[in-house]
Amino acid sequence: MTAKNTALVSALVSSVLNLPPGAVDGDSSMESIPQWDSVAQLNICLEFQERFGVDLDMDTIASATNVARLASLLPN
Amino acid sequence: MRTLLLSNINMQPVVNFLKPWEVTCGEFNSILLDLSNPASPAASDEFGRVLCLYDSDAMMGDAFYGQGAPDQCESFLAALDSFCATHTGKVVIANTFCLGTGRWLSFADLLHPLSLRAAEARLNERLIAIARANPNLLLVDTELLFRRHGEDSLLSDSFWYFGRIRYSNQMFRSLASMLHRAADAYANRSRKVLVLDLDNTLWGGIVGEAGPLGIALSEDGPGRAYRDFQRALKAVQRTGVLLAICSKNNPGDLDEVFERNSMMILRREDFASIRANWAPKPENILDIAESLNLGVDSFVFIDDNPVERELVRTALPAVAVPEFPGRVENLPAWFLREIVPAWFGKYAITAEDQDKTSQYRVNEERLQLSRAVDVDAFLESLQIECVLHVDPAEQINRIAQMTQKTNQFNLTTRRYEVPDIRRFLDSPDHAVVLLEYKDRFGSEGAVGLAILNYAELRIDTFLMSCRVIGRKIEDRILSKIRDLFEARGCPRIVAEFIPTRKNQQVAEFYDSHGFTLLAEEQDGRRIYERTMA
Repeated sequence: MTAKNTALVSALVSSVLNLPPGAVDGDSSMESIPQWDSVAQLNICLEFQERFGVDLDMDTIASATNVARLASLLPN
Repeated sequence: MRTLLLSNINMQPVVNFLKPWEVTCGEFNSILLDLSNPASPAASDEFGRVLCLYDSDAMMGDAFYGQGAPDQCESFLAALDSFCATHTGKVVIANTFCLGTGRWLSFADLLHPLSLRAAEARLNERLIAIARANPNLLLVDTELLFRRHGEDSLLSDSFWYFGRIRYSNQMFRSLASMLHRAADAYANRSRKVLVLDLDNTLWGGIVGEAGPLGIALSEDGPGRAYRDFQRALKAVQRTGVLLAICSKNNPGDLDEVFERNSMMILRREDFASIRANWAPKPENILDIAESLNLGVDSFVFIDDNPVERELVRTALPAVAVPEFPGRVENLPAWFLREIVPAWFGKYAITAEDQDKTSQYRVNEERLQLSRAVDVDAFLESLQIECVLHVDPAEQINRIAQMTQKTNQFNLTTRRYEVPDIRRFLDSPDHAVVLLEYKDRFGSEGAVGLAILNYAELRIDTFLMSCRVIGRKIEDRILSKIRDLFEARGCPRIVAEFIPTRKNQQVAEFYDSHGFTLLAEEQDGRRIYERTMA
């Protein structure tokens, strides 16, 4: 996982959640951010899939509920 | 106007893409219930627009797998029909039936009694019949999106089984854009004039160098792309789009092309206005706008030359100037897939639309005549015949279109959609007066409109198409208005002038027609009164 990927995913999550840039970082997760609920998780994954061209399976949509895990899905 | 979104699947992600529409999602899978329950949010006055975006495979239920009949689809059609008929003041938008490519019958599907292809066609046939019967229902052919981008890009199995979301973000984005454009087309908010360059736009090469027969325009080879582009332009012209030419050429060269090149699909008479000269293009475009009596904010300009495009964009920011395709072979498809739905979308096409170019061209001939003789003699020579209709329900689309499109001779510029007009037609407290015009040059169709509010003794709307300005038609409408108010025993008529950027020419209209100014407000709005004799 690279710092660049973490930054890309953080930017994506903050834009989907309508949060200011910088509000989301490599430690952010569904637990730490109140706006990141189950509906938001779906929107984040839809946007992730489109922006990075990564096809997510069902298990990943259910479990990738933090920035670090999502960033790990991107190629280095 | 608030929008309610009903579905049988999870469509929540589309809400963001539908901005600036303010969209509320109904309960999950509540589409049938909401359409049929008179106490549902869909029936309430809170929502002026109801979106029915359903998934066809899911609605087919077990019938998608060859088990039983598509009962839910039947119930949906019945509920939709009765909802539209009951709530004529709401705009209802629904997608067409579009089944996925999965076929349990495989190659037998086409001929088998349980064919999904045939079932889909039958359902769409019924849907279209419902839309014909209910002008407040706007049908959107979402199958086009699948044909264009493909199921693999637009559907998502993971999200479907995880969260009942059928589509990818690409689909939500494309669908939202399609809905916005369809709603604009339905409300007649499309552009009116397409201004075209000639060399390397209508044909290949430069006519000044290659000569009228040397330009690329043919049935075979690259010239075919330009010829197909012209075919597409001619087709779109028949939907009411006015074509104009703005090019840097010797006018004589263009005449020769029209006269001698048999590969030209477009003829001189297909253009409402032609400017082939060496003046800067923004000047010519303004000149075209003046001659057609239309604002440049209803113009689209297509030119292969990036310098000319930039010049027009800078000088006339209201003109839409799309990028030109990088390859000539893309020209016809680019025009029909991108430009037409983006700028020239139509939903209902009226008789006036189909004949619009000749109406504008005839207008130029009338103008020539008016320059030659004095006004009264000119009007006399036109042999004008007007017919006035009160509450002509069959013209509902045209009436809504007139309120949307008329800018200059429009006293109040109130924009109405079909459901609003339906309300006026049905209400005993309103009258809709429509004037049809013809003279010895031909018929202009419906060109004058007034909407009267008897309850408030008020002329709500008074407008005339710019094509007939200066022919004293307005006096005939005004006298009809007087008669109608008088027949209702109204002691006086109240009228308004609401100023806009474009209607200055009628600022003094009521002053010069026997009305008394009662008040002028801060924003320039004037209230007039005229008592009955």
